[in-house]
Amino acid sequence: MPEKYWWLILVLPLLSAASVALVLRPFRAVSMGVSLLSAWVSFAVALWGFWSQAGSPESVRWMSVGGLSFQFGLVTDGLAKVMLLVVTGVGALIHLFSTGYMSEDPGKSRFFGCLSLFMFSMSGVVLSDNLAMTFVFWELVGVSSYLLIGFWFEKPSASAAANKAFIVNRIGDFGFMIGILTVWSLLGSLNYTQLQSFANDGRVAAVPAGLLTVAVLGLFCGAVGKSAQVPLHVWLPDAMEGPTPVSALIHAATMVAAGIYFLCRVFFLVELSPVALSVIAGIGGLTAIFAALIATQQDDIKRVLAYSTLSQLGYMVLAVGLGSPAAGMFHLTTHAFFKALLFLGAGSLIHAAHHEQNIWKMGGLGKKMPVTFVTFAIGTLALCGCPFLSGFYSKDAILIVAYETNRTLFWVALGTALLTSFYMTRLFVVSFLGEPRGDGAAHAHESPWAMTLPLVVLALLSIVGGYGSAITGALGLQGLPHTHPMAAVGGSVAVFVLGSLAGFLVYRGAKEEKITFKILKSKFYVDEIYEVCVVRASDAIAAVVGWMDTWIIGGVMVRGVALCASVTGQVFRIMQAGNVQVYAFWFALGVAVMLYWMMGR
Amino acid sequence: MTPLLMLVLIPLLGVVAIALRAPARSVALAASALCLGVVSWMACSYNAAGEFRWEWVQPWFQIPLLGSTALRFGVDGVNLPLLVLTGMVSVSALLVAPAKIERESEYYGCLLFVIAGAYGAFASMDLMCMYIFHEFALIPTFLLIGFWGNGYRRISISFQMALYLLAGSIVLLLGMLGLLFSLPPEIRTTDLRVLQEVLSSYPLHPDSQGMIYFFLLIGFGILVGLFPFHTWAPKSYSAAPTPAAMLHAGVLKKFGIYGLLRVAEPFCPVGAEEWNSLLLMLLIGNILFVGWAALSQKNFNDLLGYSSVMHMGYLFLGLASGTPAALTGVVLLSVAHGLSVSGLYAVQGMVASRTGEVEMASLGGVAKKIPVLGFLAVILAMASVGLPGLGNFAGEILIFFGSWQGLSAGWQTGAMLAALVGVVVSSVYMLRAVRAVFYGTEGKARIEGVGLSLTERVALLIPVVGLLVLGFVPTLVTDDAAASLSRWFVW
Repeated sequence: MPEKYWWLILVLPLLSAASVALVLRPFRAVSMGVSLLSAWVSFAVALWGFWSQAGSPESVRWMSVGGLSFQFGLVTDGLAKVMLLVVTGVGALIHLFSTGYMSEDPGKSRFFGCLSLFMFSMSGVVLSDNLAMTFVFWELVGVSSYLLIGFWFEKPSASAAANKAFIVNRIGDFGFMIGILTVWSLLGSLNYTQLQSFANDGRVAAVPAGLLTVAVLGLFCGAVGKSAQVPLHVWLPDAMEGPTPVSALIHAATMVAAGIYFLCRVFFLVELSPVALSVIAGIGGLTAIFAALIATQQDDIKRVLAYSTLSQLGYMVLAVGLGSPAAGMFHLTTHAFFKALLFLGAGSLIHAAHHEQNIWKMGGLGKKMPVTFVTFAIGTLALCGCPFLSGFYSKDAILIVAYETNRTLFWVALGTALLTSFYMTRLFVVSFLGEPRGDGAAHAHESPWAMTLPLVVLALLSIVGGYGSAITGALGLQGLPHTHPMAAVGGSVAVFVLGSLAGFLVYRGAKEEKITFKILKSKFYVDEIYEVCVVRASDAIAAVVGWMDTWIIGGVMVRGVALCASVTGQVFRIMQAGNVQVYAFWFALGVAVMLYWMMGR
Repeated sequence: MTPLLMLVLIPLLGVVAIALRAPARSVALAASALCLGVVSWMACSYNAAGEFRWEWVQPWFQIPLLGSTALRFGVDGVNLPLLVLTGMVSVSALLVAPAKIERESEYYGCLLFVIAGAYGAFASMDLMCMYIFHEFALIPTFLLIGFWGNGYRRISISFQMALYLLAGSIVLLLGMLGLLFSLPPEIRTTDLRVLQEVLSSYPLHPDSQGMIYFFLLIGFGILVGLFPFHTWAPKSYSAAPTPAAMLHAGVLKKFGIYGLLRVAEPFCPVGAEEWNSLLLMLLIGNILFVGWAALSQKNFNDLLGYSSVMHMGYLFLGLASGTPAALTGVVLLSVAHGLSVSGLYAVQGMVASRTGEVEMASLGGVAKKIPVLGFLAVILAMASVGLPGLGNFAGEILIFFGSWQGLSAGWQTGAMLAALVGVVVSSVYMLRAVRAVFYGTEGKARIEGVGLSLTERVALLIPVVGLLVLGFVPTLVTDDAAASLSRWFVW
């Protein structure tokens, strides 16, 4: 493939978004078609580039002043190519699914326009060859996510969730920017290839360790925001307010994985800071177990999946923190398949059950929706780590790495796997088996082919994705384990069996929640704590500051100026006595001063 | 005749035509469009790699001891973008101006005076001349607020603003006179180019530099709304009629920044060094204090005012760091901010004219009723919070990198961190406002009327397109600006 064709992957979705925004908006079917076409052609180009091993095109100058230069170039190594296939491939399938899911929505054009904008931004994150451009697309991904979460903006909950997502991501980006600036001032470059060579020739190692840690943790902050790690995880569950295909594409398969991808991209920096590595591993492990605990008690099908996503993202971050980006990327890839599948399956359910999302009002959907049933089952098994499905291999890779490097985190990861099997079985049993428990569920029917075809394709990928030595080989990353200790593999199989069995036995035929943990149901009260400590506190400060601004600063300054004015007025009044002699006196004085100025110098 | 003189004369001829009973709105629109045409032609054919072009001198009047003041015009890569900004905002503002209004001729006459003054202030290469043009633009602004403004307090607000800004102007004048009197009489001149040449080879005594810089900083600073001298701005903009708010917040306010960039920083580098910590402290106030004050605003109009004052902190940060990248960023961000803030004021005006309401709690659902307005408003809001792809981001990132370059411990680090925190704060209040006004369902205030008229669309598209172009191709501004700055400053 000629190298310049890589640009198509960016240009096509951008053109699609722009044309929808400018002209095509009134023509809903055309907008949809254009967006769909741009996604599939991008995918084709990504495939072509992958097989033909095309190199990077020349970079373009965006802006430069003096020694500071922002170039826009594309990186097309194995890591980028694999990620690009995931992004465009899953993206294209979800575009197809959306044509069915959103067929009735009056804002269809806007939806597909935003979807194209997202594809542009996300492909940009993958392809950027330097930190500044990554940041640019990072923010654009954030805004497309904002627009899509708030797609139904008449709903107050949707617009609140959109704001929350954007702002929490911006908090992460605060650290990200500090990280970028620190890297730049320490090493004088933003370009990944160049930075990599600095890492190889020891220039990075010569940097003071403390500053390097600041830089790496700063960059990690960005990943914490985008990949929704604790403590910035709060936006992702709320993001489920968006249409379900969006949840599948953005909030499960691609955008939230951007943080992991980025950590792998700069792993050559990350690995040089042991402190940062342990912080990353710790945050990852914490997120994994924390979110899995919450997921066991949620009733909204999308929220269960959202917390499950958080938990799996924690897994990936854990892998990176333990020094194995390859395992992280492997899991990212398989997770993209089965989590997109699960979300789309959930979308198919929700669509069929007339927008019912509460699993306790579903039930018995298995018989009515056979394709959704079977594919969802495959997705569930893959996520739970059922042997010989994709999730098993990628999860095992992480467990083995943890087993070999950090036993505490290994137990955390194993516990997470147990919980995962449990809550996914619960979800599956409650929503698909038993008798219908709601009106929506009673009248459900299978979705159209545009929705089921992506399910089938993703199900196939979820089965075979784990045999992807093609994937891991192409990545060109380090740290994939070569041994298979029995404790790790056996433990993983054991928790899968245990967790699913427990879930099945507890929830078989259940009509309502069997076990209740208030603290898990209320998500450890994180939202409430933030509401009081951050939002209310900031608003209180704002109120005080606003008051001071109006009454103290405004008052003093305005009074002060008014006072000055009246004093000068008084002075001039004395001068303007209406008496010719007084005027003459001032005139003479003025002339004298001027003469002094002129002569005296 | 230089095209720069035309920029000043066309609006003034428009005023004459209006005085001769020509239809005011059409004349004003035609004049501003013509100016935009001239200024666009200049931008396209500048091509001088940072050198001055279209210079023109006409002796004006003689002040004893100061030498002769002349109408000296000229443009380089620093003021050309600001002239283009003036052109774009003035057309947009006149399109927004209502077709039917009391004392129509006076109203449009005042707007044209403001426009002529703004062009003159940015085109002048003479110290006195630029000062006079700026004052010339301020006075009709007061009249616009007092006569055609909103709210019963508009007259007192207009007086307050007048007093405040005239106080600033006096401080500024003192600074300028100080600068001139520190020069030996035989080389004393108000010609900026000569001053630059002289002062770069024979810098002033450090003590006088400190004194002069202080006066210039406070004088220009008051005009821009440097903390704590900013309280006039939100109030005045809320009371001002929409076109006046657009012109003042978008264009005239940038005069203070331009003055610091053109006069204070290069002519008194030692003074700037001396007062650097003060400036940094004050700009932290601009970003954090005013930013948090913006969070507490309940009125959409006030919120925009606070937001515009807050963003001045970023321009001050660029000036305070003084590196080539940061100063180039100041030029770019001045233009981008001018476009985004004037666009947002236009949006606000359109919302207010349809609902008769400015309280955010009573508004809502505008995007549902008028999707185009919602769409353009979101773009403008995103520009103002620094989203990549729009001009403000390119300016901010230059300022961030430029400031980080010259980073030293102490206030500089504080200001840098404040600026980064400010990015979060500004997105909080701006997105809250967008949500309150545009999302959700119709609030207490009913939305009257239908979609946007063609003139309203064009009025909003001008800033939106400008911001997109600057976001994607910032080099349109930065290349020439950087080249000119490297000639103007001694690095």
